[in-house]
Amino acid sequence: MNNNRMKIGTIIAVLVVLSVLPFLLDSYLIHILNQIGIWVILTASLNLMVGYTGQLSFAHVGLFAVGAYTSAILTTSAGFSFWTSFPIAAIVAGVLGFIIGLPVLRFKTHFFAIVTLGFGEIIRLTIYNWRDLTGGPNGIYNIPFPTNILGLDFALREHFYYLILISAVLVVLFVKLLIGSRTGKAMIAIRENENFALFVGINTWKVKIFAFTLSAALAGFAGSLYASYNSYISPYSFTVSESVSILLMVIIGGMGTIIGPILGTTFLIFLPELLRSVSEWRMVIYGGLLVLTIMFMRDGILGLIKSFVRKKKHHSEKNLLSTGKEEAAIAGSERN
Amino acid sequence: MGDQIIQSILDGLVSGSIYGLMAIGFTLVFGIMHVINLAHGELYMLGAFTTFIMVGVYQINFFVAILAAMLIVGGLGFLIERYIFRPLRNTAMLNTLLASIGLSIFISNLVLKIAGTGMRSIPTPFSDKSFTIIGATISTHRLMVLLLTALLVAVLFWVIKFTKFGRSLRATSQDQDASALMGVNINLTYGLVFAISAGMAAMAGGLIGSLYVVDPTMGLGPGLKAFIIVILGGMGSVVGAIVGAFVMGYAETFTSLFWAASYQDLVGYILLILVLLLKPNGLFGGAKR
Amino acid sequence: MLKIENLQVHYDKVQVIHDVSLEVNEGEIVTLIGSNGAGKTTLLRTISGIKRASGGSITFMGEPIHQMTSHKIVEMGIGHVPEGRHVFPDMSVYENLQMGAFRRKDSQAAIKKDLEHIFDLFPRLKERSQQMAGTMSGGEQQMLAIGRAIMAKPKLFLFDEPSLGIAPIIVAEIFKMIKKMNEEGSTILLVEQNANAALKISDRAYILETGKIGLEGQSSDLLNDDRVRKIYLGF
Repeated sequence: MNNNRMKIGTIIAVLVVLSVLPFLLDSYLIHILNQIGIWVILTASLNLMVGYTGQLSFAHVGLFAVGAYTSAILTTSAGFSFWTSFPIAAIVAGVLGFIIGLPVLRFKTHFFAIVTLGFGEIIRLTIYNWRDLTGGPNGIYNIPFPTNILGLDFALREHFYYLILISAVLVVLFVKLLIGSRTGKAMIAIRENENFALFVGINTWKVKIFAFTLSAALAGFAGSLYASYNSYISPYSFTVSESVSILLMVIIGGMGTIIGPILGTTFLIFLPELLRSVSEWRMVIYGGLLVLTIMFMRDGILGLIKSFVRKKKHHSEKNLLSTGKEEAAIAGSERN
Repeated sequence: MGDQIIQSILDGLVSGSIYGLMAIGFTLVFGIMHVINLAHGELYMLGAFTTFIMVGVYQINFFVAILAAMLIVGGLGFLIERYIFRPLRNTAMLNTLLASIGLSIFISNLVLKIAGTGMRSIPTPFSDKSFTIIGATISTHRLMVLLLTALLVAVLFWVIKFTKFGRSLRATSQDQDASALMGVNINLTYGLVFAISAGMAAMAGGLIGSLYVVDPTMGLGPGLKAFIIVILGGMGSVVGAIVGAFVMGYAETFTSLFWAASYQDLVGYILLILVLLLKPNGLFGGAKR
Repeated sequence: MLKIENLQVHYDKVQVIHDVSLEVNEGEIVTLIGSNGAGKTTLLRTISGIKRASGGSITFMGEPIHQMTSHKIVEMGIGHVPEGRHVFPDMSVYENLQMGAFRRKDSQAAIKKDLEHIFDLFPRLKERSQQMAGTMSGGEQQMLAIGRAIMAKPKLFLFDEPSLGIAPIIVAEIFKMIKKMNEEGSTILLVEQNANAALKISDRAYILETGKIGLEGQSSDLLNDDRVRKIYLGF
């Protein structure tokens, strides 16, 4: 009981601190935090697939792009406001995710990875070549900021900050609730051992499609925030390189946990700022970090922290990455 | 137009055989070790650089340089298998996939940092003479690439089918434990397979690098293409890799001829998705292991 | 020849072999009986080096082998015929037999001679020498697996459930073959579910239950033991 109270207490404290940061930090740091916030939503979406359902998807950058472009086109050419565009962007991305997911989700690990990469690339190349709609390699300029509400002027980074903060918090909360639900347990079971999950009666197909569609919609939402925040998007922001970066953030932070991707995103976006002097070595470090993470700290930074805490406390903490059999049994016995 | 088509057929042959070199190495590693090495393209790039350094800087004979590159990169491959893939051997396949992605990023950016973005070319000993076959021309260099590749593939086939070592490779890929019970040194076998795969990639790198340019990012595209080709042809099937390589080579050549060169990359992905939808294990893929 | 002392084997955190000790002397047929899941296959896999023991020791011909790699153990002269045959499915009968001789260092001629000898022992294999092993029946695969093991000329044979999934007539043939091999000088450790047949051809027996040795003794004695008869012989 004490443990839970401490957890909730910490979370509230963190949220309070986050809410007052715009008054304490300078504009540039706020800008970085804003980017972290948007990427947190994106990594949370990828984490749903990679960390929780165990499917390595490279399509998310494409869905991110679809969300960004949908929102951008609606707010520029069609004159919609951001507030109507972002749900549409999320839905369009979600539907696209559903359509891609249908044929692709039956493939296993590496097939799934390469085919999603293919789709991600097809999306990018389509955007690149369809000049009339997307502006081609030039991208879309002058994407308007969201119209002011509640006295907030979103042209100001400090004010946009609150939109991003609330969105990120809501998304993370949503993911946490989802993971705790029957469906969430089913997802974990599939990640651990898909055959076993099938055996226990989980409709793995339905769960995977659901996870993929949902994560696509979340990626689309992140995309629309991205478009409105940066006022300019181009196909160059949505390449394989970005796909890999998102993956890195999820894994290095600690996949399959709620906080892991948040840590990973923060770490990987702050890192180039901290290591200004070695910024040219950034990618080399990332690559090496990924290899080392997979080999020695498969639970990522979060795993490191946890084992450190565990050693200090001599407690046997409940392992978040359980065998999944419990989850499978629970999820399977109450037929989905 | 007829001339152009015949030229394309010849060009596609060269493309296909180069892709084949890359793809065979990739599929060998997957078929025997069940490892997907997405850093394969970087081994190709390292082969090109090693050849460049030997020929350009130390003035070593071109063919000797390629051979040396094969040995050096092969040795590197052996070490990579020993220290990175072996510890991950009995864990989820996802882990080797991710580790190889990390390796790919690490190697390509390291070389980029050390060598800079400048493009280099490898001086070759080939004359400017071209041969003409049925109305299409092929340079001495390209002809040599074609012949060397064919030679390597033939040697590989012979080794796999007729030698004791080749038998141990086939046995290990079919049943690792039973193979161990026959006294096959599994660790050594895997190390050698990876080294051979790396050596083949290095040879491809040296040959292609000398045809075009050598730069640190040259491995990313071909690495990905090798992956696509192998999935197209069927993971683990050497025949599939060869067929897939030519299918890819020709699809690109004819796309370039009839449509536009910029769509070449797109065609590969579309082809992949189409084939997988019809034959989920690729053209020659067997039952799922 | 083979001495196992206080062996412990784990799969992750679960212990499957608890403090097992047994021995096989030269020229004997020793059988290990137990029901499904008793740990028999794990024990054999630990002897041949595919699985690492977590405690205890295994000595073969005076040498400790429990830390050795599997290919060294094969070189020392242990031949394991695994449960479920595990022939190489996409290789021919001939190639499977060649794989049996993989570790041998003698001449091609000697190996060829032994191949012919195997074909004499198993005429059905000779008929199908070019056939893909995966397409053969269970009984034929078992003969191939045995022939393959013989090709290695081991000092100790480990048989893992040779009767499993095979028609009774063929089972009788196989057991006759095992007895014959023993009469011609081979030492054999036979793991079996079919307690009756195993006890009939063996000299001594151990009973393995949930990773522990329950009973041991002369096979003829165990055949007449009430407990054994009730649990394993179905009386």
